[in-house]
Order: sequence, then structure tokens, then C-alpha cells
Amino acid sequence: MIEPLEVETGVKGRLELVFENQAGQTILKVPRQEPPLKVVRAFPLPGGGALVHLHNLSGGVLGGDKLETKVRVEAGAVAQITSTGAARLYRSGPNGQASGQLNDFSIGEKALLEYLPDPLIPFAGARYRQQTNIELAAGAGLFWWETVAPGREARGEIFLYDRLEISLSLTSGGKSIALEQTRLEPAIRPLTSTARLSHYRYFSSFYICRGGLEKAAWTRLESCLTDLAGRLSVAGETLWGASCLVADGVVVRAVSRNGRAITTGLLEMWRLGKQELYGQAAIPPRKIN
Amino acid sequence: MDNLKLLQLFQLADSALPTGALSHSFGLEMLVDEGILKVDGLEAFLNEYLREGGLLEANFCRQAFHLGNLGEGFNQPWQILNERISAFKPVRESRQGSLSLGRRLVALALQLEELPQLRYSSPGSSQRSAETHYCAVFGLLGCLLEVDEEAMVLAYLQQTTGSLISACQRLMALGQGQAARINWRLKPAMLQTALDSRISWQENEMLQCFAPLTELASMRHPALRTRLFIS
Repeated sequence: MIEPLEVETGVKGRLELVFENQAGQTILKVPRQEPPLKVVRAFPLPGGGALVHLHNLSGGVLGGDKLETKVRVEAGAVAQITSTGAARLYRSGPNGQASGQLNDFSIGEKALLEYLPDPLIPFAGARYRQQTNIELAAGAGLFWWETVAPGREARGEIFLYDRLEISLSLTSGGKSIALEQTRLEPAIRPLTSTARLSHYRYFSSFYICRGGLEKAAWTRLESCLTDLAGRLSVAGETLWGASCLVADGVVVRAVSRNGRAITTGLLEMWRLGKQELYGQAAIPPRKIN
Repeated sequence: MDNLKLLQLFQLADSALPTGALSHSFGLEMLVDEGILKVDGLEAFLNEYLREGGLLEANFCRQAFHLGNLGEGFNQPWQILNERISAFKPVRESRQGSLSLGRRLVALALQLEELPQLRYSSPGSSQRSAETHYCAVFGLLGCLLEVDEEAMVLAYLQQTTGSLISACQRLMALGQGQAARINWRLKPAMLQTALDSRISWQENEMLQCFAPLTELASMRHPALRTRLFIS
């Protein structure tokens, strides 16, 4: 008698990355990688940084998957992390199991992390929980964005996911400077409400931080980013805004009816922020697919 | 709750309480200016607003209420709570508005009653925790005045919702009668929000808010050429 195959109800994938500063050159070490999470190699960046592409060999996050990514950027290191494509969040499994992603990032003294992934695309019926903790040490820098799509638009899937929980905790020098905790259940709390997204479909957050700067520097950056936000905004299509955090950073928000406008705008914001804070050009990560 | 407490609560929840609440629209002025928020959508907007920002603040209100009983161990958790509220408020103008209202409520309450724990939070205090948010001060005050917890949360929701409706009366063609009817019909939503906060206030993971459009409106508000409100 042939035994029935066991039905996989999700995998536990772990990825641990350490970026070390060795005489001005950032070196990637990978103490742990368990499928489906994987990195292949690090690409050198001008100025000594390292670029890494995060791969998910499953092609997306499947129902029941529990994924964990830990990134440590050590003092003085410069890391740029991107994805190889949009994160597809598949329908939850037959038992309604949610999938989850835990992100733990620590950025050491005078280190810099640029985390620039492609959008999350929650498919119809998806249940997904993502928790991100970011700790910045003294003088550490961060460019971190995240965009959430409404679903597979081309198939007419707009806000058909079951539940999307996204939380972010950002601390600088041990002090909490930003907390986001959202639980989106479009069937229960309509995202089309004016109190949430109205007719906009995509939303995005972009955190720009650097420890140790005077308050005036943030006020100036807020002003510059707000000017750019005004130029990028098109009433009824895309709205941008920027505001100082409690300390050590600025947050940029955007909502849009189309994803392309968000992607373009984020690059503009990044360029401006990088120039203002580091006097350097932002170099978009080259994609390998 | 005795009748004296009830009367005190009525006064705290009165929109005429001189805290400066009527100077803040918390982003609504921009939403109205951009044509996103209109009279015919106001009630639905506030209904959902209560389930997001309203619920989050009701949770903080309850947390502050329970800190009021801590006695000597009060200072540190009070500071942590207010820093946490600040971190949950990404928009500078709204955050500062909330802090400004909190400071004024502390100052006013100290004129009304002898409340040592509030003195720690007063603007004259050298402590860092002099940064106090309105929702937290309201909750703490409720405890110190020995007001019933449920009544305190409801009063907070009534007061803040009333202030937003009042702001809308100055921003759009919203008459007094219509405003009163909207406020009246929102009572079940306020009750539900208070009820929901009874379940969620103790679990930090359960605190949630998703209001990107209102946040964006607050971020964009300073760019308005002329405006009636500070935030």
C-alpha cells in the first residue's frame, strides 16, 4: 500500500546576515540560511559597501510559512539589501494558517543600512503577519522602505486578502522613535473608507534616519522632502508627505492608485535624503532578474 | 460613581474646556481642502476614524488610568507610556498638538484639584516626562478623580469626536443641527470603541491603527496657504 504523502503546511526558513567592516570594505557573512530564504553573494558598492539580494526560493510566501530574517550591520559597515522581485503572499493554507515573517535588524555605530525591497503583493485569501524590529546604535543610518500593493491588480484582485498584519518598531540609541502596528482586514474594516485609503490602492512608508544629528537638520530635511512631496503629488492619483519623527529621523508616507508612481517617488526621496544626510548619491540596486 | 464625579467628568468632556482642543483639526482641514472629506461622508469617516485612531487613543487612555494607582512606581511607566504614544504618532504637527493639549489639561487640572502625580507631569517639571499626551492625561485624571473607568473612556471619545465635528463645522457647510445629529448617531460607535478597548488595552501587540490618508493630510497641512487650525 502506498503511504499518502504528508501535506506540507508551511516551512520554517531562517536567514542570518552579518555585514562586517574590514578596513573600509564591507564583508558579508552568512552564519545561517535555511530554505526558502537564501542569498547568493554580495556585490561591492562604490565606497566600500555591499549589496545583497534576498531570494525566496518558493517564489513567494506560502500559507503557513514562518520566515525569519536577522541582519546585523556592524559598526562602520554599509549594507544595501533588496529583493529579487515583489514578495508574493499566497492564499493561506487549507487550515487557514497564516504565514509570518519576522525581521530583526540591528545597525551598529556609524553603520548604514539601505533596505529597499520590492512591494508586498497579498493575494486573495492571504493571511500574513510581518513584524520588523530595527535598532539603531549611535550615529547609525537607515533608509528603509516598504510598499504594499492591493493584490494582483491585473486579475482584478483588489483588497481581497483576508488579513495583513504589519508591525514595525524602530529604536535609536535605545529610544523608541517609531511604532507602526496595522491589522488590515478589508472585509471587516473597508480600506476604501476615507479614514483609511479612500480610492487609493497602494501605500508606502519610507524611514530615513541617522543618529546624532541636531534637530535643525531634521527640520531642514523635512522641509526639503515636503517640497519634493508637493511636486510628486498629483491630486486624486498619488499623495506624498514627510514629517520629522520624535528624534533622529523623518518618515515619508505615500498613497497612490498605481505602484509605478510609488516606486519612482521613493527613488526621488531616497536620492534627496542620501544627498542631504550623507552628501552622497543614492545608487539604485541593480536587479538580477 | 457619585454625582459629584459625574459632574466633574461632564466638565472634563465639555468641548468648552479651555485646553485649546478647538485649535486643532488633526489633519481634517487638509482632507476638506483637498476635497477628500465632504459633509455627506463625514459621519462614515468618523465612524471608521473611531475604529482606528479613536481605538488606539482609548487604549492609551485606559493604560494611563491604570497607572494612576501605581503610587511611587508611577514615574517611569508614565514616561514610557508617553514616549510610546509619541512613537505611534508619526506626524510632527499632530504629535505636538497632542502634547500641547496634554500640557494644558495638566495645567488646568492642577488649578482645579491638588493632584501630586499630575504635578510630576506639569510643564514646570524638570522631568523628561513633562511630555504628556492628551489621551494619557485624560485617563490619568480620570483615575485620580476616581471616575468610573468606562465612563472616563466614553467621555474621552465623546470629547475628541465632538472637537473634530466642531472643527468640521468651521471647515465645511455643516450646520449646527446636522452636526448634532451626526454626533448623536455616532454614540453606538463610541460605545463599541470603548468596548473594543476593554479587550485590547493590556496587550501592546493588539494596539493598531491604520489611517494613512489622515496622516498624510496632517503632513501636508503646513503647506496650506491659509489655515484655520494649528494642526
